[in-house]
Amino acid sequence: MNSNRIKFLIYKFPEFGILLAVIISFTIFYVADNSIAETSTLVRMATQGTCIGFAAYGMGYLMISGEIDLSSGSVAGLTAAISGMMLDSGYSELTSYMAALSAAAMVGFLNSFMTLVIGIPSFFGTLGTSFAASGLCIWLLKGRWIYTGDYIPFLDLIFSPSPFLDFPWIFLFYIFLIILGDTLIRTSKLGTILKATGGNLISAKIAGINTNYVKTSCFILTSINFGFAGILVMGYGGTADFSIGLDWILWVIAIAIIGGGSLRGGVGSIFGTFLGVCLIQIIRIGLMNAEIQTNAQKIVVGTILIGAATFDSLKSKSKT
Amino acid sequence: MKQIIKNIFSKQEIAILVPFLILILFFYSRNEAMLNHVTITSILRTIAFPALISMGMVQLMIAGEIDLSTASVMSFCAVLTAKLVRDFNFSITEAVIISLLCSLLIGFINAFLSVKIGIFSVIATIGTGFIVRGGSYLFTNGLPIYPLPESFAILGSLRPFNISFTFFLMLGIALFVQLLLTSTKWGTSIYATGSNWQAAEVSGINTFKVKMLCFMATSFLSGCAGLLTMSQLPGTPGDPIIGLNLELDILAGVIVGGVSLYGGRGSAIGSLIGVAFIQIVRSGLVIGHFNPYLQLPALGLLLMLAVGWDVIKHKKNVA
Repeated sequence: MNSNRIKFLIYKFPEFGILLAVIISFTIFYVADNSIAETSTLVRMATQGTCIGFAAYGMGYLMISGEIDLSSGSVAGLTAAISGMMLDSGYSELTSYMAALSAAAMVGFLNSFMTLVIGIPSFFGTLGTSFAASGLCIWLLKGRWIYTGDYIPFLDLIFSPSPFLDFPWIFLFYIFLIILGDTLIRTSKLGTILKATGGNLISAKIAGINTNYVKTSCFILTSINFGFAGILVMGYGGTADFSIGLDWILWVIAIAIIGGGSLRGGVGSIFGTFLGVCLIQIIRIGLMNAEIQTNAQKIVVGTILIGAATFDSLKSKSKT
Repeated sequence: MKQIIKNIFSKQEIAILVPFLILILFFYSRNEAMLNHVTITSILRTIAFPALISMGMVQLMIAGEIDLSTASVMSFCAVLTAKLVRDFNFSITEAVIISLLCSLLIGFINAFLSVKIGIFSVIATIGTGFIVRGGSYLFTNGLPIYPLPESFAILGSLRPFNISFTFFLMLGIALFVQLLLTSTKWGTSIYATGSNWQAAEVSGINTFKVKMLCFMATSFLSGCAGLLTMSQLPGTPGDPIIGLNLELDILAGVIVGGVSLYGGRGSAIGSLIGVAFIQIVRSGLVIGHFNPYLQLPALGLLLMLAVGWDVIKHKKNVA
């Protein structure tokens, strides 16, 4: 009875399991090293988490609609490179970001074109754009580091501490977006449309949903989010260089899958991606505090990715 | 006559030769050094590694799966061997055997995750790839492992016809794989698994076993390529950056060479030509006085074109 109840809870609220994992991992790291609960550490966690969180945010929607985007890191790098170069050559902040984000949106459009019109599975199509975009980024930067620290008052402002526990403003904005998105998905028609598109494409079409429109919007939204995350990282570090977005492909997919997104589409939650970000950040910072090499993070997160994907796969197998 | 020509060019392996030759001529017209002795031998030496791995990849992709952890396995095997020899006093043979066994194990894990558990192989192998590369950096703190005994360089310093041992090993394996694919039962079962696994299963093929062996072959060849790379580097360091970003070359080469993402189509000779094509583009951009930073975008574009072409062809076949 009791175990059935837990099963029901986990089935009904997939976030419950992740929440548990977040709490457990936090407790473990807290016991090992109290400093993880200090305000300064939490702020650092929140700031870094916001950057990667924005990248994963769009993926939440995209995966519900049944597609995936593997170009996260490259698009982030490309956007940072473009905006860095434009800032460096004297354009205003707004113009640079708009131009860079339009480039990101174009990549998103290209992804949706390849997936929906040509019919390349999004795994492979976006892997191709990922290589192309990172190539483009390297070509643009030609190995340079562009120092942008002096031209970004706006980014400095959104990274400045807010009255609320010194968390940066952008983090509060991120939380706001999470709540907004989650509420929309749960209560409005948007959630139904996305889930129908991802869960059963043909029925969704018959029901009169323009699935191509839905998926295209998701692809473009995702790419813009990747791009915005890239700009945030640039603002945080004060430089634009090719290392922005390196290895994000792992983090972003891991977060999206931990957050309850399925590789088969139709399910997922925006709040789940937030919990995914929390889990990843706790592990990153926890390992860093324990003075374990940064390369161990890759191993841990890779293992988590495989674990979450295994769970997802077994769950969808048991349903059919 | 027209039909014959059409038939010949409907094979992507042959059709790809046309742009291949045009590209070579184009780069030759920009700089005559494209076809001189040094360039050609260096291209042949460079393609040996990705081509060696592509001989496993081609079987795997015909069977309908993909492996993105190849380059990481290269680095891992090289580093592990170096570590075992330098820090744990293993003999070279023992260390090589242990690390190749590890590569087989990684292949098995990939197969288990993709086939038994059912994670898409792209995602599963990205995961294992990161774990494995993380492992190889962790072993070394990111620094190359040296000095190693000079006997590490025995294979790497062999220069038959002034090319390299790896190149001829790769040629031999390519011929072997081509024979396997075209004229053995094993080849038939790979094609059957990739084009329609349910039908293959019904006709008595153990598709898990087929895919597992393909995954293991790919990992094993990646491990060999890693060891051979180490052996060919000056001073033979166990460097964790061995094989960095090589998965793009392998994947793009195999797909340009006519192997389908949907499985069931492709050939070893084709992927050999594909990998050579990729290297011609890379070297040609340098020799032809283009911006060397153009290499990556060019390869990404080429990969996208090849994938798009493959999908369009697949749609035509299905319709």
